[in-house]
Amino acid sequence: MSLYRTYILSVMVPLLRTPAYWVPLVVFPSLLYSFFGLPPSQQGSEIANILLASWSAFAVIGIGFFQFGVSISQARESKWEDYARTLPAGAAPRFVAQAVTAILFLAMALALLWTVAALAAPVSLRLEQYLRLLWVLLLGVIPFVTIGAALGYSIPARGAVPIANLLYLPLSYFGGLWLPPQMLPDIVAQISPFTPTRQLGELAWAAVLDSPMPLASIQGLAAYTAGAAVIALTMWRRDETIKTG
Amino acid sequence: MVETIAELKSVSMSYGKLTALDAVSLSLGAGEAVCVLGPNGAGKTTALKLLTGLKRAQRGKALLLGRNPRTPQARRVIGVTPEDAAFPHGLKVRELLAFARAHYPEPADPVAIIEAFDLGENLDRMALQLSGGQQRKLAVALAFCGAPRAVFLDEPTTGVDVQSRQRMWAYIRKYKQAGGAIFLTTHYLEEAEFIADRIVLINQGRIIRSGRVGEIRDAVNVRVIRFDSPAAPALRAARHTGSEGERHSYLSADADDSVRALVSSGIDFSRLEVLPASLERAVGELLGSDAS
Repeated sequence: MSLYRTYILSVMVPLLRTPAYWVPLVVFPSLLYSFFGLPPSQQGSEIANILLASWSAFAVIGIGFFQFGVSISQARESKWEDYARTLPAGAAPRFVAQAVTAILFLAMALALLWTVAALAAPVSLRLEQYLRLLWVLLLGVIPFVTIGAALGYSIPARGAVPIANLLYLPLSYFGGLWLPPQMLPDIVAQISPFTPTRQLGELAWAAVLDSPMPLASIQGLAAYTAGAAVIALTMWRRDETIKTG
Repeated sequence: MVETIAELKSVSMSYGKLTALDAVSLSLGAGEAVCVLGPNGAGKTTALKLLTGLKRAQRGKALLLGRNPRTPQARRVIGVTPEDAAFPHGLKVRELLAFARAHYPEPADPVAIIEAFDLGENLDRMALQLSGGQQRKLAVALAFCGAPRAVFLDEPTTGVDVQSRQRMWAYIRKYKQAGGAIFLTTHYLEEAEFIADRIVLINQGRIIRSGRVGEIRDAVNVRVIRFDSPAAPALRAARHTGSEGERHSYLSADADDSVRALVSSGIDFSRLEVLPASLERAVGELLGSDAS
């Protein structure tokens, strides 16, 4: 429908016109991957596969936190948003536009990351392993977008970018996405299993190792999603009450 | 009977101890233009937000063609001007117009809108890079571009150059003559006078006066007295407000008495005029006397 198309363009176009926004989002995972994720040459392809899965998950988390967290938090304080709310449309087109844009940026980030990996690492994944990984990543968008929304409704626009970074980097490190869990310092290793990033990591690793999806990680992510959804809804309602009261 | 398009039915709104609206009723019919005037914080913005779906009535009802403005369907019949400098980053004039248009089942002819609001040269510029006056034109164009039954115009021509203002006013008039309803808020009383049929004065959350522009002007007895004479004399019941060469202006609370005083003083004068006070003066008096 044309209204959805219009909303998608109205979210996507200004972001694409701001390379300062999307370049870091798209390039960051590949950049860090080439610093920390390329295995020493004597290592086999299994390690390379695992590392690629980790950094792919890292990209998902960034999209959730930035595309949703930061965008929502900034929109809450924008006067244009006040105007847009007087137009005859509900919340659905706005949400769909954000989601489609998030997926577009994720696709760009993954395309770059996987290209770098194909060129510089002994990655050897079969098509079905790639597809399995892609599925995990797409489903992983749901919890991290929800966490992003919870952040977006909880923090003021000024703090959005620093706080998103403050959570993004440590959480992905704690989740074992930078270094494999076995290599994490003791104390970090103890916290690691409880982070949502670790749950996504576990699923991504299972995808490339041909092992069954660990149920505990799916449950963990579901729990995080539910918790974040409750926070997002509560904060959203608080916002609405203030605005429409 | 004129069809009612937008309506507040004894709406009350309060925030803590502050009463923003106190049992306010207001209706806007097809082909009618109402201007709401009042000091900042009087309740104008709250009234506007209630009718455009941004706020929910705590008591009473806000209605658009009998429906709740909080629902998107009800808002299909209205167009609203965005606030000053509210445009989003990174979108062009053309894209913002298309964005607003896409919401309406039968939007207005974009060519006519672009011409009326003088946007042709700026279509491919970023909205945020436009000058203040150009941004106002775009804001008003956005209110009209869906061809709604009612528009809510907030300070429509503030900062707009004289020529464009005339063109915008002409468009707004034509819209009204074609049956469109206009809800106007402005600090610029010449605009109110030109566009509005009816003025509603709000102060401290209450409608303190409502009537045709002429009625409001006549509601205060203040008159302007002007005449030529070599010097500006002191006049009974009047205050000297300025002179241009030998032409002096006074503001009088009792024009009859002041003129009598002028005549009996024996001063040589010519070209005497007694005029109604400007709307601005009348509104000032009405709001001032209520506030005190």
